[in-house]
Amino acid sequence: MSFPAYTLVITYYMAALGLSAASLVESMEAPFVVAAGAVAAVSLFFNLKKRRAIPALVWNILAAAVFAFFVIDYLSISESLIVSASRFLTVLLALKLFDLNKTRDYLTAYSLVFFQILAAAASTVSPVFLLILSLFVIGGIWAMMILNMKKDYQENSGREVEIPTVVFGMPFFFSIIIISIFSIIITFALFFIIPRMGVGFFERKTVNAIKVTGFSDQVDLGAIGPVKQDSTIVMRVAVKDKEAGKRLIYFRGNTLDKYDGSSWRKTARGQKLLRKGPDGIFSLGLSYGELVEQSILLEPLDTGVLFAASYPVYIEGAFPAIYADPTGSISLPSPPYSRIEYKAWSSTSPLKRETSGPEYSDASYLDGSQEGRRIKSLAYELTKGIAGAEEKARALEAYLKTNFAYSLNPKRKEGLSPIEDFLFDSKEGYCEHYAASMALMLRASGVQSRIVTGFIQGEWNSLGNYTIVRQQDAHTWVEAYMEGRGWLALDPTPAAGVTPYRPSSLSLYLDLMRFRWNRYIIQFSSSDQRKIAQSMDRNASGLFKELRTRLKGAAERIGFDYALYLLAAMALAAVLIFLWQRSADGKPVKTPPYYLEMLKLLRWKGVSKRPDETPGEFALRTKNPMVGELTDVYHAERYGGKALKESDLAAVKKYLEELRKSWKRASGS
Amino acid sequence: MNLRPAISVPLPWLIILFGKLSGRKRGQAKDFRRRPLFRLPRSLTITREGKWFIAVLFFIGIAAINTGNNLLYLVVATLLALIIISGIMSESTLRGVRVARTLPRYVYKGAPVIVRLCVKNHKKFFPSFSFTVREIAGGGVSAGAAYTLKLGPLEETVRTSRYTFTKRGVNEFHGLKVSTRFPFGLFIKGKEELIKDEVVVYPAVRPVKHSIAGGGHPSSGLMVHSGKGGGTELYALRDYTLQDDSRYIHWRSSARNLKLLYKEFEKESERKAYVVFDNFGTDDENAFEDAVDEAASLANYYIEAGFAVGLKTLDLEIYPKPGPGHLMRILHTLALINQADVRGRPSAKVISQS
Repeated sequence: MSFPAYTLVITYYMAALGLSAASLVESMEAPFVVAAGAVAAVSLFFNLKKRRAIPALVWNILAAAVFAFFVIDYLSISESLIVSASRFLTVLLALKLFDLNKTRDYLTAYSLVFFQILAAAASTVSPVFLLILSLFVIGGIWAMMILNMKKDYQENSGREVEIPTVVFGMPFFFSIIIISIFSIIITFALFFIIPRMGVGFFERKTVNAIKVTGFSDQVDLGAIGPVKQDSTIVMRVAVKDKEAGKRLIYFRGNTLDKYDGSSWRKTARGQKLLRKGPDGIFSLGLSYGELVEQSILLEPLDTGVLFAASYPVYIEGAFPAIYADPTGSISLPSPPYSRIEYKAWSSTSPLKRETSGPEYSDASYLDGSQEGRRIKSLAYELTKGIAGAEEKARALEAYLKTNFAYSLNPKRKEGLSPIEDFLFDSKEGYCEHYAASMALMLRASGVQSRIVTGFIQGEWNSLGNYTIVRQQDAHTWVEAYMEGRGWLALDPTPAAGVTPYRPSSLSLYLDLMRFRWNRYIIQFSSSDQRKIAQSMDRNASGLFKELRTRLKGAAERIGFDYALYLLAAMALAAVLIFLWQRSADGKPVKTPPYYLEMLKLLRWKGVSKRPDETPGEFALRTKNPMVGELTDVYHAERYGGKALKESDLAAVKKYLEELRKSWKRASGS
Repeated sequence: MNLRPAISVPLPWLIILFGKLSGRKRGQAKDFRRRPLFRLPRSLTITREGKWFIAVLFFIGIAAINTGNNLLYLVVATLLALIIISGIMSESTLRGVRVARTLPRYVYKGAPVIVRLCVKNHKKFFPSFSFTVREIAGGGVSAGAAYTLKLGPLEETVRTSRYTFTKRGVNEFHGLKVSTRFPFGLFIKGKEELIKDEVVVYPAVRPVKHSIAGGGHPSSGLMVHSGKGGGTELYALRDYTLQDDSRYIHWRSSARNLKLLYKEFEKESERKAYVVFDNFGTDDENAFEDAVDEAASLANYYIEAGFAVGLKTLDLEIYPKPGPGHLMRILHTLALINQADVRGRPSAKVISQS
């Protein structure tokens, strides 16, 4: 393969990576990327047919036009610098592929691909980015090496000379793959080492936040129903205790207490702004029962609610403050619009020890409407003769579980409210109907109650030991107040219903990869680095302690208290020997060192050999017999080809000593 | 002032340690095979592309810190990894590469000569790519670089380089520098091979414009022959007689002619010429050098014309002799000649005798 063909292959490989990176940018339309790909394909045909190059003037005009479009795009179309820049780079790349003549053109194309990847890095969180970056490393190393070698070769051999491609055979390509793998390993090592500042001032916000319903302070009846068929992942919850993770059922979101016939609202007061404690953890209340630790990776949602298994007691996360109310609902001051990770510790106790309030017994709707009177009557019938609050609650729960059907699209009769229709006509509905009905009937029976919105169950991914919670897992349940004990969670919704989404093993595996990617790459933070450093410190301390114990044992055995000093002395000696060895190169020289030493010695004494003097003439001039002897040895070795023996070297040493001494005697020193 | 005795008397171990560190034993001459200990083994220069690379790396790093975006940190880590890889691969290319220089026997000032550079890769498994060997810059010589695209493991190659010496006299070579931009062209890494050598650069020999009286220019073919005698140049062949020295039988011609033939030699040239070079001291270096070149050119011209040429300067005298060997002696003397202590205008002329 000729060199131009070689570079063409690499260039189109890189261009494909650039287009793939562009497709990862948020809000980048697929048709745009496909069109750019088609243009690139046309340019390949153009290059293979070796058409005439685009004149520089045409290229410059096109580039200017593309830049103008970029400005318009940024100011009025996308209004996003990343998106408009990515489009600009894509168009430039597609045009550049028609103008590949000199080495500089290829380098420009590769640079455009690099900046496309950079734009994708600023925008995406997809794990596909890692694949693209890795392939770019391979292509980049390959391209830089061959272009650099071509440049060196042509600079030294002549501009028109084609570099022989026999150098770039299969062994060369395989070595590039190995080098690339090594480079990627070093990349990851550096990624984990580079210190994180712990703060990002201009953090990336996604424009594609998931719209969730049911977690605002007012929820209309029927709002949750449509999302029950949406399999979009909302969060992933990893639990240390695997068995506890499998048991976790309810993820608390918000609590609502006032019903007006068509919606529930939150009227309870008591929400407070919490700051972190000295240990960096938000404390929500008294801790009781066994606590389960969860690591929650929450997708970008359009709500600031933080979910955790009921009832959360502690929260840890990279946010300065959170809102918490006495019911156990927690939220951020504003929606983050980005993926966030936090930890929660939740109590597994079925009862939440919390005082009640008058809003939870508000039965004004029941008193003021015909529907309310019917509900009161039904509640009376169901709890007639039952004394305790918990018994009443269980009776109502059992009634709803066994006498109604689960349906995401219940039949509605005209003229009836959703709850009235559910309880008295259709007798079918989903969690909202069940929970709302039970909460109203509890209040009608004199038991304080409220509804809680959140998520239920999720799907256990055994490959990664975490729970996947999707939109379809949104749920509503009831909490009833037990006097003197606290709030009891009740769920009147029957288990039978719509078949849940069950992905394949491959899908679970891919989700695990995505989870690991998000957890260890996207969400990697300074606290993770601290943990790694602490872990390494613990391991190293253990190792040093073991080493110290063994050394001490050895020192005691040999009865020599200075074993460590001996070790240090040996290490110093090893360093000196290493330095000594490094300074020796063993390269032969023409002028023997003893002759140079003699000249230097005489120079110190003010006698210098002139350049026009032969060694013999110089020796005669000095009138020193030692100089004469040394000169004779020098002549024999340098010009006579005589190899000096040990005895000759000893004689040389003696002559130098004599010369030194005789000069001292002569100078009186 | 020699401080060594002062140091060695109270603290002999200190001088021993000092000698060890500087690579010298007590009483031993400095071994030029040993590299100075605290000299950096490699030189590193950032190319223009390397500066751009580092600038981009810097700005992406700033962006990563500002945004806290871990994918930007990943890109920064990738670029840093490429720099590390570049260092490792360039070191792999330089390591184990040894060079040796072969100088031509006779070198003249201003005349380019071809120097052979023998390059060997001593590594057993790894090749060396895209490196150049260049003379370490010193005064008096300009040398080209010798480039090698690929040198396999344990392979050896010979490259040539054009050297031009601008100063006559003893020209010392300190070593050769092996440098490479491999693999990415971001940095130029080099290592110095300390290979000392020296060469005597003869003065420039230029064409002489004047002609010899009675002889013409050597190339004109009008040279006067001096007749047979005891010289070394073949004059004629004749039949061998018993009185002749059998060492001078021309055996080849004898075999061809089937009879013994004896070599008769030309008489030693009776034409003598002295190149008189007045090496007066002067502030005008160029004038002195021009005079040296003139003297060399004259010597060369007359030797080629068959003269026995001698040299006279203010300091020395070389008696006339013919032949190229004697010319080299004269040129060697002129290569090393210095200005005399007496001030004046240096000049060169010829006094010929026939």
